[in-house]
Amino acid sequence: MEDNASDIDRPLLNNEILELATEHELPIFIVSIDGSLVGISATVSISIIALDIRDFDTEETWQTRPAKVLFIRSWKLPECWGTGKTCIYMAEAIGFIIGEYTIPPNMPIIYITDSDNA
Amino acid sequence: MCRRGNKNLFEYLIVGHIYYILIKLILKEIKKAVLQANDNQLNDRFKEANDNQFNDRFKEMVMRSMIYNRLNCFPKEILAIKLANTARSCIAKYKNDYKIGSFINLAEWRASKFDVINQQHITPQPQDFRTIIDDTNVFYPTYITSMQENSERLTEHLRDI
Repeated sequence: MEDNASDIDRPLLNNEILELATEHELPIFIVSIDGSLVGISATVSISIIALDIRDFDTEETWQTRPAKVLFIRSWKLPECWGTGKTCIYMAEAIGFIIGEYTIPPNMPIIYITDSDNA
Repeated sequence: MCRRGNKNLFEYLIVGHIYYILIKLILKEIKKAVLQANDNQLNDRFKEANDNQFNDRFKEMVMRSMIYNRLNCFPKEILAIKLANTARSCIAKYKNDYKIGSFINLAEWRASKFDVINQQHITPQPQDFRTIIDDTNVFYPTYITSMQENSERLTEHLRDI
């Protein structure tokens, strides 16, 4: 079935993200996690990414191409949580939890993070 | 029993534990009072922990000084109004903690199908993010169930978003 204009100009659906993230016979999700600081507020973002492999690629040429970002979830932490202040490390650790709630259960995942927590 | 460490800590632990037991008793009495107000149907009402109406009535009652006056909890020590105000602030904190724990104001961005099909280089823009958890769909705990149960329900709630 061909997509019409209104159908194609819309955000990806869950099943489409699932298909794109696991195409090229990839049995896994690749999720990147990064934290940042805006003033004193920590923020974490997780992204589901897909490798940008194209039909004309030969051997490993796709490796020089940036991956495609399909989906992002981003959360700004409160400045205080309980009795303590939040920080970027806490944000990055929470990224794993958000990732777990985002990806369908039982799917193998590779998390990519540059956090010192890792 | 061998008592090591800070003696004050040990005593505070005992005091804290007794205080905790007293608070549990008070809450149990309040539950009973709510149940009695609800047609005296004690048996099944306890099982209806998730019932919103019951939950709201419990919250209303725990924040009123009347119940503490009737129970005469800490005579000449802690005023009923003080207990009611403490309950009010505890409930506010409890709700807020669960709001944070359920990632209120979590924002989401999705690539457009057009960009993916046309193999466009995708750069997410701030205005394209939308909030997927707000006050309308954030998780609200029930006050009369355990943290274990509330946390399990929170997990299910987050899985569905």
